[in-house]
Amino acid sequence: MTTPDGWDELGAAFREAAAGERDAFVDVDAAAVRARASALARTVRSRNLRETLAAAVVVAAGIRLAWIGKSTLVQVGGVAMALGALVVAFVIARRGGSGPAPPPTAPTSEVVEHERAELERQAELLQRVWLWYVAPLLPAIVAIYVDAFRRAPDGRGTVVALAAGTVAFLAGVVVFNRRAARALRQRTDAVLPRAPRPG
Amino acid sequence: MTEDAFRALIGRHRGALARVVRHYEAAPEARRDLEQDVLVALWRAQESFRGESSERTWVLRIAHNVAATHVARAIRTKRVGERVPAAVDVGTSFPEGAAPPDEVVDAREAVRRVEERLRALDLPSRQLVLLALEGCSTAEIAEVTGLTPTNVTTKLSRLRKALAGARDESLANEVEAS
Repeated sequence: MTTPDGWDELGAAFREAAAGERDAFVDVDAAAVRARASALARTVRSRNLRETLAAAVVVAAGIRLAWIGKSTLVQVGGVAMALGALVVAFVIARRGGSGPAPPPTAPTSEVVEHERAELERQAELLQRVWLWYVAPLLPAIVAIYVDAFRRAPDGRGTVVALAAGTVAFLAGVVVFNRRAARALRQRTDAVLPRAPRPG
Repeated sequence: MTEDAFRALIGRHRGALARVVRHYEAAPEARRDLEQDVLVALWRAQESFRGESSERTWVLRIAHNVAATHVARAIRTKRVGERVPAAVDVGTSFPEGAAPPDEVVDAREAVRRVEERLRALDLPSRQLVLLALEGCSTAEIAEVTGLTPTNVTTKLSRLRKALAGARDESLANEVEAS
């Protein structure tokens, strides 16, 4: 029996149209699939390790600066750098990684909703980069530049120029990330629209 | 599940899996990646199949879920516009020199039009239409998506009307051309 709008015929034609895809899912190497599954888990572990190490390097640099700094301002800057890096690392660890994903056997609507929430969370992180990335590192930057300004009466112009360059760079980071957040939201809304609120 | 049983499982659903992968990814290399991701997900999930649902809905659910994650990754990496083939290869399987029957050409043209229109839909809608075109019943689609059967019927009815418009448009263009 056929449907009035020709849906069944369309479905049959759709299934037939895979004729050009006959090489897909042929000669499945189960051992390779199993190896890829293990490699995937290793990749996630090594990425987490890399992020932790990067934060540890900045924290160590801050502590060293605080330790060897000749002025109070540099020492304060070192401590602020270490604390700032810890804040950034904490935010990345807490909000940067993916939340617990539904299992692949979950209903598709659940997975779609999860993916949408993940993209929204990432857009939010990009949008608020000034708060969790720039702001925590700013006290250290200010302390170090103020110290340099005070200690080099003859080279203040250079210090001011360097500080201006740093401010411009950080402003660029903020603007670039805000644009990226807006673009990400637009792409997300086009493909994964918000589920309508009940009622 | 043994490796042989896994290969047999894939063999039983090869066509449906290929259609899911083809729909969601246009670039050949990325398509192979998606194919591998689907295989890995099925391999990892194999122990969870307890026969509470049909094997087909279980396989389709996993394939569509992996594809949804693939699409989200494409959104993140700005590849979102490339996920569907610009022109679906639906007319290349005739023997050389043989003229394809008109009705087959019409059907393939209709599929091409529907695929084009599908690209404009959001992901949940596309999943519904793809499952329906795959021949799944309302109950099976509800099982795969987690929606209620009533919700599936309502949404599909709306989508079918929209897609029927696409096919009518195709017919109108043919008449105009002749």
